[in-house]
Amino acid sequence: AAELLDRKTRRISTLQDICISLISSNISKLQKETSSSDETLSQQIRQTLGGISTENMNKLARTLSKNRALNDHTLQLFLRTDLESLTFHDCSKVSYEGYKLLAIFAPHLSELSLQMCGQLNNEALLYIAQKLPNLNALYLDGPFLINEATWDAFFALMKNKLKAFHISNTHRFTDHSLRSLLENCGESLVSLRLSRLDAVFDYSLVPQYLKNPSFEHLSLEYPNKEELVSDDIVIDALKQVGPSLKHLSLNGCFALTDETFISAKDALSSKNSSSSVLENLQLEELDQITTDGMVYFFSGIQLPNLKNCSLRRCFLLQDMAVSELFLNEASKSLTNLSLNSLKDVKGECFEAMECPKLKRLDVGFMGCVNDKLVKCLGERNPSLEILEVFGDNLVSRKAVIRPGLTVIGRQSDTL
Amino acid sequence: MSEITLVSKDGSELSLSREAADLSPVLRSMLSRPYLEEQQSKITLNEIKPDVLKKVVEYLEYCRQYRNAGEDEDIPEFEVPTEMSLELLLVADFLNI
Repeated sequence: AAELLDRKTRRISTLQDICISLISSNISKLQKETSSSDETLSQQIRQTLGGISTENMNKLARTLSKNRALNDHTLQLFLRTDLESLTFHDCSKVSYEGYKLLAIFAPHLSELSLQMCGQLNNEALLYIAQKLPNLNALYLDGPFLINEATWDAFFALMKNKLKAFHISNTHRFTDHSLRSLLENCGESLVSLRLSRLDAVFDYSLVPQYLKNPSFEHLSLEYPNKEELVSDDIVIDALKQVGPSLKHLSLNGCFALTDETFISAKDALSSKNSSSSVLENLQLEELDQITTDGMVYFFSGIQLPNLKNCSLRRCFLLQDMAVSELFLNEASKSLTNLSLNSLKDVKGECFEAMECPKLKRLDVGFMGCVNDKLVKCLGERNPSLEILEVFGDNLVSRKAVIRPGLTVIGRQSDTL
Repeated sequence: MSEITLVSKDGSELSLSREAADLSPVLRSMLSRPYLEEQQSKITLNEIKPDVLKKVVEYLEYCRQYRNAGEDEDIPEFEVPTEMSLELLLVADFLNI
């Protein structure tokens, strides 16, 4: 990036680029030499390229995605393996033919994540449902070619099989599709994420159908209009599945107020205790929740398993709310915490802070963070590895940083 | 210019110049932070096979040699054996080169 700014062009390509072009050219060469129906093609490809173990397959998928090099050619690397779980972070160059190949030649898959899958079409989605007998978890981002009729057919095929379904960034997933999902798979679902779906208006369907007593993961994020995800809907949903819930994400549901959390206190705990099994709590951009509401919540329920928590851009929160979190049992288990942009926090809350397992902390855009606090945070949290301080202009090069801690985002640091 | 030693999976050692090692952001930060590596100028990379590591060292030295080459100078192609490409890709990703 620094070179780009200096207007220098690189004449030497990176080793990653060299490897990828070598891989791609060899795959196309082999494809031309053998007939496309040849059963051994992908094995041959892996043999020629040296091959890697199944455990490294997902790493390879990540590297290819990072370099934007995952396409129908490189997809061949993942066929005819005994992989059970596969994540493609960037499928924008995979065509519908590619998805069909994947469905036919990777039959052991039970968990499939396709991010940015813009070219996934109706035919390919149904292929995936029909040809993958073990599939029970599907995570899709951007499947905007899939229409209502196909969603219906897909959920009918997956009836009582689908355990996890995450979908984001499509305007073709409608209320009707949501109903179809919940009617067919509501009983088997343990994990549901609906994010940035512009054609879903009736989120009240969600609490009506979630009945699985071991339901774990609920994410309702960035609805088309803020009032669509209201306090009542979230409260109803938590009443259904609260006691078993491990992951709750309500990012960008701007209409939520303290009411949700006043009810959540009781809804999240099981009958005889005041603690919850929650591990992950994401409440980004809830700009109506107040300090009083969160103090009530964190003081009324213990969260001894909480590992990840984000209160990013909950602008009304002040020191008391954060202090109460540090007084909760959660402080013993937290590994990841974001307090980004809590501009009204003055810094007193950090005096009570002791989080022995905390590894990552984001205190970006908090006016109160200075050199002294950076030193103090490092000392009080022995496991802390990464501290983000973007936009904190009181953190200077003079800050004392303990060995083993990386501070990211100081103005004085250059690349 | 000081020499850096890289140790691969089977314990064999390879050395390269500090200047070349600095071209990998990962190796650079291992060498510049107050870690153990700094005193010893020796980095153990347990995950990497010796032949792959040898290629990595070759690439870093190749980069060092040609990175400041002028407009009209010819830069030779860097050769990677086909059968190593997958493994090398993963290692290159790890070292961010």
